[in-house]
Amino acid sequence: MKLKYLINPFEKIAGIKALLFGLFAIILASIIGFKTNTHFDGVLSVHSGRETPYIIYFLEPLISWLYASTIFSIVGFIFSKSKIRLIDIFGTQAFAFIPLLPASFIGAFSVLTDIPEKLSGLEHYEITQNMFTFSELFTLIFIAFFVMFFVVWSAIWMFHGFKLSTNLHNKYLIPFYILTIVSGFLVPNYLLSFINF
Amino acid sequence: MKLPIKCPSCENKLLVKTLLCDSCETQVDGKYNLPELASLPLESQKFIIDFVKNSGSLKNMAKEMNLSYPSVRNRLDEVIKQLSNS
Repeated sequence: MKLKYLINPFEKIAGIKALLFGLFAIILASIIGFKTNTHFDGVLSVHSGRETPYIIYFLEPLISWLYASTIFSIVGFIFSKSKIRLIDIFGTQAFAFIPLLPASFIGAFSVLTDIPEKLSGLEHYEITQNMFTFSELFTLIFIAFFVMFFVVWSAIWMFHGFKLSTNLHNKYLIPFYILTIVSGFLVPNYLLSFINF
Repeated sequence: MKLPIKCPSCENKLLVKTLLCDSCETQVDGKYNLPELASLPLESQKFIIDFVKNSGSLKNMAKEMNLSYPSVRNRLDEVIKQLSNS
């Protein structure tokens, strides 16, 4: 596989095929997330968190994907001069979730629960370096870089998917992409707050 | 051989001055415009020929070129843009 397809696979894949692969990745990530307690509760958001019913682990990445795809579709239909297809936008955005799959294992690292437990109830001046072992700090930094790598990779795929499926000029592409990513940290969370399980 | 379409000196469009019959060597002199398609880059000309051969089906072209549908559609949009600028 050529390196350029690792950066932009959408020259080769889009539409229904991309959608099916992407949905499979979302389902798989939700199952692994359920087992490891990892949440994808926002566009490009990954973290370990509270234990919830399985359906929440599934709805979080699903709503985030639907949110980003819907915004990109609206922008595409308003500003693009090409005959764009919804299936390409939704398909490429689902496919862009695939790089996040390895990040669904981060909740399995106990350090992500141990450190917050040690810090809970402490004032900032009470926190000292001796409270944490070297291996805890090393693991924490490793996880941070590990997650960041896959989040950036997914973000690049989201951008290329948006660009290819809407064929928009950069003057629309970049601001609406940034706006969707930034709002995508908050809006899916807000939408999820209406679902009570 | 690639057909030159722009003047190497001033970059303006070139015209056809002489046409030659390959069989009897009769020459026709005049001042003719190049056909619109000839003024496109070779890659775009090939794309148009493939497009016609595939009865205008971008889906078939995508399959033939081993590319995704929106990739091929975007190339078509690029060719349309080139035609409207030519």
